[in-house]
Amino acid sequence: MMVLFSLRPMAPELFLTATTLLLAFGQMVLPQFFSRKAHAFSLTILAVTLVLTFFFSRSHAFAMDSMFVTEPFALFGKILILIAAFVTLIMSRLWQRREGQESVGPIILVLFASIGAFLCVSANSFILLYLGLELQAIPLYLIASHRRADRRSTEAGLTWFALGFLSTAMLLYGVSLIFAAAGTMRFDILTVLFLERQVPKLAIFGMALVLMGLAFRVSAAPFHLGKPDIHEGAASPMTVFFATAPIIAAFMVLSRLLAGPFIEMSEYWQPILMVLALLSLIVGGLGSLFEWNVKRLMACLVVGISGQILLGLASGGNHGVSAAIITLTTMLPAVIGCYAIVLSMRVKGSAVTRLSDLSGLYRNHPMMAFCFSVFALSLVGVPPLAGFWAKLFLFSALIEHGMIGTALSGILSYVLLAFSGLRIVKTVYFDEPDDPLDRVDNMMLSVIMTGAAGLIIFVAIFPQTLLGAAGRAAGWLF
Amino acid sequence: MESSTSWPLLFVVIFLPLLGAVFVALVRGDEEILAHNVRNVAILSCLCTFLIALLIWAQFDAGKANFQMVENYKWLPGFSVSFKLGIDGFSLFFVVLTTFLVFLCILWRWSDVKNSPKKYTIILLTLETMVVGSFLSIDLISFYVFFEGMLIPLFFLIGMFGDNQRSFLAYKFFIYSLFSSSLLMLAIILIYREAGTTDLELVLSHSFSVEMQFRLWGLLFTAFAVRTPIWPLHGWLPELNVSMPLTGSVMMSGVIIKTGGYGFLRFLLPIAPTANQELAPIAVGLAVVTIFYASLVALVQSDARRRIAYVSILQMGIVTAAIFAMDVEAMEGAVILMLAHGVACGALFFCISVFDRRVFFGETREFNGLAKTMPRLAIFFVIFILAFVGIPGTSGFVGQFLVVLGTFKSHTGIALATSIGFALGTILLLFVFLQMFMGKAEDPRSGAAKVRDIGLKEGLILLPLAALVLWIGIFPSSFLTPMHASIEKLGIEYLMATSVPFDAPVREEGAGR
Repeated sequence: MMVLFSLRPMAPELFLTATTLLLAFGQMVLPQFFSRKAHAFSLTILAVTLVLTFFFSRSHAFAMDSMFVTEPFALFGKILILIAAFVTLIMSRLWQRREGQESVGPIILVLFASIGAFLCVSANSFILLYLGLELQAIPLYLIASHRRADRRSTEAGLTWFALGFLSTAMLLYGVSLIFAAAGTMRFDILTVLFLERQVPKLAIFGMALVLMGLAFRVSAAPFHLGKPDIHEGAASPMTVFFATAPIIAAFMVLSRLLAGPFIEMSEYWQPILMVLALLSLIVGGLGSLFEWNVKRLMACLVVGISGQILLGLASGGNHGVSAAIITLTTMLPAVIGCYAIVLSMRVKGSAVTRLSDLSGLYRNHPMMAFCFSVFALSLVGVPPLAGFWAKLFLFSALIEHGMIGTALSGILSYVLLAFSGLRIVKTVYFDEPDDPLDRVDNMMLSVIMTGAAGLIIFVAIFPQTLLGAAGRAAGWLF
Repeated sequence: MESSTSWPLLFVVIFLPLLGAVFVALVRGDEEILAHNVRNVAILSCLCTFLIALLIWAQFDAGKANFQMVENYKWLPGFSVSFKLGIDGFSLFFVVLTTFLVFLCILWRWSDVKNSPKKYTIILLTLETMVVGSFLSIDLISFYVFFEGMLIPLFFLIGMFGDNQRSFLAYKFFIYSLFSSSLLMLAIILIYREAGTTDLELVLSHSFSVEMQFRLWGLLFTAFAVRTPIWPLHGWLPELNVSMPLTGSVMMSGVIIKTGGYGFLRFLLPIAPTANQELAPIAVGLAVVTIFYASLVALVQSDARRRIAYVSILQMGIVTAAIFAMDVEAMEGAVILMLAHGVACGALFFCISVFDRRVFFGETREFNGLAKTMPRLAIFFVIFILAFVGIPGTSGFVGQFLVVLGTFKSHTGIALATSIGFALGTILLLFVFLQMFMGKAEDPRSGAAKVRDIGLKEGLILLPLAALVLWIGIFPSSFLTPMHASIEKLGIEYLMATSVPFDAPVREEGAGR
């Protein structure tokens, strides 16, 4: 009883695991019953998890021998992940119905990945971090290669598998070095240890390796290679999840590490992060300029946004983490919205693949064109949209720590990223439509799309809630 | 610094056009009814906005130097960022000018937007909100949102309604402007970090360290220099004036580039006076280069629109030189010149659009001898060109006189440059006039010969502009008096900060009549 009681902070994770396992086994035992109800079941699970998260993850508590921690910071991340998973499952249901497939596999995998992401965000120990990271990543490899008949899909899965294991290997090597240097895996103990004594050289090497391992997860250049292929190969609704949840989880982990065990090593990781950030911004900007495939374009934009977040984290300190959280939050509806639009259009009977398929969208579907522009411009940080506040906070954090040179280079790279946002707007509004686009009349997708756009505009005009919440959440780390 | 009315006039004058845009977006119907209704809604909202602007002018107290009709709305209380609006001698007439020009743009029937009047009016109204908002914001973040926010409707205006080059030009414009606004954002963040607030009134009472002032000067100057535009950052404007729909050019030359000059007066000079002492020569130098560069390039242009665009740049160069000459007269002259230029340039583009509406986007060099076929247009054209070049009795002269007088007191060289600049502008525009209106109509079959003269509707729109030109020219004190207090205040604060006075005014009231 006491054991169970002490696991109380983990209630959402436990619930999610139990119900997912139930779904998985149930699907094996009673396929007919479960495959029809699977989607509804999974959405309910996520909704209940959301409620549980609010109740149990809000207070500062430890579990599992202090390997697991909850506090408002983790709460923030978990909510974002849940939203991503929720929307993904809704979109995947619509997609599957349309494609004529009914498979429960991806649903279960998304749920497992969410559990993994939850564990990542709440990890207070490298062990739990590793477990969470793997649990979050492996289902995604499987989802990516789900469409066995499609060569690109299989390629995507394999690529991700290979690169993922490579990055995990680097991460583990780094973790082992830190363990060898300090003798513990726990973040809070490590923080105190490094604060009191001088950081051993071994730990610094370990830190660098851990950073590289995580850099792959967040799609930072030059560790982003393969990501555009991965995004392109997977089925569309799942790509929403790929572009959001792993990145959110990884950035949360990174923030926790930078504010905790690595805090005394800032002179070493600041240059690393700055270079990663600027490279990501430039690569993301250039890449998205030249990409024509919509999913690859989005992947490049995600690389750019990761660069932006890394820039915020590089500044170190409360405001940088705040800026990172704000960017993640404003990125989420924008990415979701973009994919909602891509999913709801069909050209010549098949799905939209190229950006040029959407040219002149304005002529026939003005609302959609407007929403697409809102998403694209918010991603690149143009006022008066939500992404602007993220950008403002980010540069504010940089300047607060005196990194004006970085801020200037960041701005120049930003302009590059802005170019691709403009390109989207231009294609959608200014170009002539090539082929007629059929709209798939789906209320749910429209709701998602307008909801996302509305949210962005709301945050743009009334940013206090978000800014305040992010500030408080970030404050918990320090 | 008190609210003299119970109505939040400033808030209304900013957001009424946006409300109008929302209403326009909701209008439905087939093409004809749609166009008709859209126009009515737009005219109504623009008229109301203009009337409110006039009301603000009427309620403006010319004796007060501080911000008036201040409205403070809590926006981000945790960060002491508020949505603060206020008006003073600098911004008053820009607001009136903007609302006036947009009203005329909406009235002006325009055939190129026959396909999408709805989109066009939404863009124009949103643009008006952004521009007026940037003139009235006295909180740095609010200003920034409007200043950069106006790029979005402009991007759409260029990209949807321009000619073949439009996508490239839209990109070019946006990238230039994004670069400049990002520098502005950096400056704002630096100010916020030091002063702890973005409220302009509080920021102005904070004195920045000299080193910080130098940084801010550099950032702010570059940011506003792109917008003004100053050589070498002017590249985005000329082609744009040719490619944009002509009412877009009216807005661009008439109002948008004034936000640059306004930025110098509102932010740069008050915030970084000590740095300005050292760095003003750079600004003046670049301005003088702009003057001569623009005039040389204008000389070789054959298209009237391009030529007018370059003369615009020339005049903004004169304005900048006058602003940085650090003299009361020169500064008054600069502001009046900006106003006069807005009116005259806008009016000239209206006149030119008469051609493009009748004949599709032709090169204006094909038009000769139009004085015979279009006498009424010729008269208006003359008035506006003379206003542009500064014949006494017109708006341009007041500005010209004050600028040359002011810069002469400060530095003879600048005065020489500005005088030459004015002279060059005169020559260039008169050439335009001669080329287009004088001489024989050469080819009776050419498009020019078939063009009808302006009718009553167009005349009714050009008439107020002409009247305004004459009003500013003959009774400039109605415009000079309200701005005098604010300029003096700027001078006093500058003196207190740098121990260098603006040169005391030597004229008595009434000079320039």
